[in-house]
Amino acid sequence: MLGWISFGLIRSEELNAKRQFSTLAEGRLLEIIRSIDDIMSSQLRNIQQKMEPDSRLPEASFPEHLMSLERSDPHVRRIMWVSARGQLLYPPSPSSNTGNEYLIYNELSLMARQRPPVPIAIRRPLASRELAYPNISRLQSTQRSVSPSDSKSQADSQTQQTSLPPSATATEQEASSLDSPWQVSYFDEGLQLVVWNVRTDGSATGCWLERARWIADLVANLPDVDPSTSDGATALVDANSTVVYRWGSRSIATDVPLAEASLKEPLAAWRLRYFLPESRSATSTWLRFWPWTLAISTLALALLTLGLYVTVATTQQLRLANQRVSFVGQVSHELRTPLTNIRLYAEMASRDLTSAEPAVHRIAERLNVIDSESKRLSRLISGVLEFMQGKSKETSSAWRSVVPDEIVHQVLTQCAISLDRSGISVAKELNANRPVEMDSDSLEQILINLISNVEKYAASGKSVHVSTAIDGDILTLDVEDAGPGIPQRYSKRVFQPFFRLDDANTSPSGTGLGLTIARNAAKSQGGSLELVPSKCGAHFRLQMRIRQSIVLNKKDES
Amino acid sequence: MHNLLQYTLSQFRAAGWCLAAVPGFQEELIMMSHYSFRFYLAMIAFVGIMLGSHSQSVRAEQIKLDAALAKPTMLAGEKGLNYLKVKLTGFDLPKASVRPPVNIAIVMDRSGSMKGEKIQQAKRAALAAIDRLRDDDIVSVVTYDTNVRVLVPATKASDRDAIRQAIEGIQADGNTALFAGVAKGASEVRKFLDDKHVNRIILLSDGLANVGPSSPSELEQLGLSLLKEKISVSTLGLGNGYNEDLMTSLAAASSGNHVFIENADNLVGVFNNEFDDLLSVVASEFDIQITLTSTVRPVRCLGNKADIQGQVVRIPLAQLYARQERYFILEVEVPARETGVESTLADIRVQYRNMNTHTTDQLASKIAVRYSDKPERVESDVDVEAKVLAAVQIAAERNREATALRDAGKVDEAKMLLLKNASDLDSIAGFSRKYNFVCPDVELGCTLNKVQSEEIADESKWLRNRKVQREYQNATSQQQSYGESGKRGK
Repeated sequence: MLGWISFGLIRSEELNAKRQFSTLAEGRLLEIIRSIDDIMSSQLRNIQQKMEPDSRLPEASFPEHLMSLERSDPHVRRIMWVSARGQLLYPPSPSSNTGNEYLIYNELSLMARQRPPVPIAIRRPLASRELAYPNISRLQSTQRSVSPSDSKSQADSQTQQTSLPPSATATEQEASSLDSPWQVSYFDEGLQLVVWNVRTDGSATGCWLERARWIADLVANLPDVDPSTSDGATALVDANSTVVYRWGSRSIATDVPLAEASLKEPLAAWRLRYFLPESRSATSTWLRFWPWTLAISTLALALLTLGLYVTVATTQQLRLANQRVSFVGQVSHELRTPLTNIRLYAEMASRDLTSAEPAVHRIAERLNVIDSESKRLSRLISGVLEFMQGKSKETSSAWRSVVPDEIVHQVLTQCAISLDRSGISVAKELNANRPVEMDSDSLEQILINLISNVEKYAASGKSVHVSTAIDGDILTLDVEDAGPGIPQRYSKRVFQPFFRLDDANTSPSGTGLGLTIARNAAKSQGGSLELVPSKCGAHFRLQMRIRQSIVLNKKDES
Repeated sequence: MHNLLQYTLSQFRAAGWCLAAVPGFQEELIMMSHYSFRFYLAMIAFVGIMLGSHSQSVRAEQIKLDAALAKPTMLAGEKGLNYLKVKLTGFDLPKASVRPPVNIAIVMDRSGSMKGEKIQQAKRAALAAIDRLRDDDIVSVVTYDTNVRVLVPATKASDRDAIRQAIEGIQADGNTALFAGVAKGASEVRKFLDDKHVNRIILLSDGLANVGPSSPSELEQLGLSLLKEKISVSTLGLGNGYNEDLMTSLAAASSGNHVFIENADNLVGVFNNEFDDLLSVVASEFDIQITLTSTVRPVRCLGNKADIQGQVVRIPLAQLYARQERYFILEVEVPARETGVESTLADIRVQYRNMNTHTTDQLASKIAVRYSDKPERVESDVDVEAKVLAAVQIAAERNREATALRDAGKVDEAKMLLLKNASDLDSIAGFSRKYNFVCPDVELGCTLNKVQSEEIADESKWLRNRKVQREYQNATSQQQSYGESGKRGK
């Protein structure tokens, strides 16, 4: 939504900017057009003045004058002199009827015939000029398009003729001023320009300007590449839209102009085009509205970060909550099992007592189960509490002089009933049959946790192998089962709280804390609990620090 | 190696003229009783030489004008073609004097195709050129690709460091706006346009013009216009990709040199040669006017654009270098007359700007033709030099026709024409040997036409050979003092 709004905003700003740009560009183009017009006008004045110098020349030397002008002036391609009756006085007709010279002569006579009309004052004597040389016009009509401006100016002069009364006393000034002294013709490479000047006797001189030269003059007066301002490109194009000259940025494709304007007479068929590249306009818009864009993008970025954070946090919270729920469920389940057993066995014992012949040994058996189950319950609760209070609890004070094997015996006897029930046989290989000082509580707790894991998860293996060994100050306890085992990649994660290989409801109940508690206990005594790689089943190795016990203590203990 | 060859050739050429003069003169003395007219001519020549040598020691140097008809004696009763030779010889630059300052624009193509070795060599060549300039010379540097950039606006060469720096920064990219490049270069030269400077645009391109006016005729017109302002454009075509028609038209129209540089490594050498020319200009602003007698019809000026109006033929020439021999051959149609008649054929007037004395000097000469009914007399009167040079120019014209034929797909006809050229030049070589006249252009032209006739059908070599042909045609008609002419004999 926000994105859409900002996109719309940027778009409208872009359009606005484009409109402003094109107005600006048009203004600039008009300025250039004025300067081109100045160049052409000064060329016009220059040529007209050269054709008719102030100092009056004798009529006989006039062709000589024109010839020398034609030869020396770089702007002149050809010069012609047409009598009032439309006859070509200069140049003389070529000696042969073939070759380039003949073609040029034909072109000149065509230009002379189509020259712009002169004002009324000297128009009268010219009235018969079309009739005088009708044959030439037929001869010349090959592949030429008469310039539109020509017919237009002809029409202009007609209207002028009707509006102005004929004046017999036209001054020379009036006589030499034409509607438009320019004549546009199409020959050779395209648009050709001819400048006309009317003489006092009604004859006229025309100068066919060197096309390449006036183009070169325009080019020379237009800007070149300006490396400092590289916004956009400007092109001068001819009537066919072919680029004659371009300047500005050179990497811009000249296809769709931003602004366009026609040149003035006589180059009205030519146009100036201003180009702004798409990317450039986008960039400049971006530059103009960069605070907006920046703000929006910052906001978007912030939103994105927030969203990401929320997602991550929620996921984490959800997982944690799930784990808690699962934990509570598991703990309740764990607690209920011994409780159920206690209640069951207590009921059975009381029924035994109220029966006809109470069997004392059966009652004692049931009380034993109750005792062991309540101990298990107590262990569970203390484990959970221990975990809740803090993971590492220094319990170094609990060091006592014990025979480790005896502890193992005790635990295994304790678990014998449940192991029996699960059909798990226990193999022992105990080599720690001497008194040492150690944290026996931790050893007991860890072993119980390990054995209960075997009960829960490795019952399918039907066997557990427990071995002990003392190596200097280290007691090593190995518990190996023949169950499904734990993949190596979980060797670290199995010790993390709440981690269970299979958390499905059908999987055996468990808190997911057993191994965590066990490892914490081992670590608190400076020992370690590791999952040792094995071929089948899971193999846990506990290593604990011990101190050699004094014989006296043993005696006391025993 | 290349330079050495060119040097040897130019020496050879110069020696040729001397040899032609001396034995010819001796011959005249032996045969004077039989041919009193030739003796007369020889005496005039002798006096001319004496006067010339005299004037050398006393007054300022002058351009030498030498005009002659290939057939000073024509067969009576027949209308016929004749060739009028007008030869100008530049004087040697006096050692004590300083050469005229130059005003040059280096217009360099920096389009994408120039990338790599080409642009590096071009920069090196331009830098070497800048080093040769004197402080009062004027230089501008224009580069063009799609657009044009006036890199160094016209400035005194004393600002050498800044100019060097600008040139070193040139990089190649983009399209080729050749026309606009020349237009901008011309406007830079125009800023300091005066008759004290030798004005020149040096255009370097390796490609086709593809932005702005791009046809050979448009560039030719621009060249003609610039020549009227005494600005010449020398065009250096680099590699096999440039438009040789456009480059030769521009050079020829503006009286500049054109060189086909196959290997960018030669660029520095070519730039040096161009500067040798440029720095040795002794005369400029020529106005050569040949007025023919009313009965004689001008046909054409071989190899050069001439302005023929009625009986007046005007030949444009921008400049003449020291010791350079520049000739023009005008083909004329002479009416039939009876034997014994001797009539004026043409008046020749030459006006030029002497760059040494800064004066406008004039030269004049009159040419007459005689008629005889004895063919052997016509034969023996032949002017060896005029005949040989006319043959050289005719061969170049025919070579142009051969290029046009090949362009039109008429390979066999082009080949025949080249073969005819080779054999004609071969017989001319024999003729000139007989008179101890040595003209290297004949031998070179003969070999080139022969080689070209053999290779013209080969499509794979045409791109290169066409450039070789264009260079030969232009160098022959412009009588360029340098070029990769060694290649012509290859």
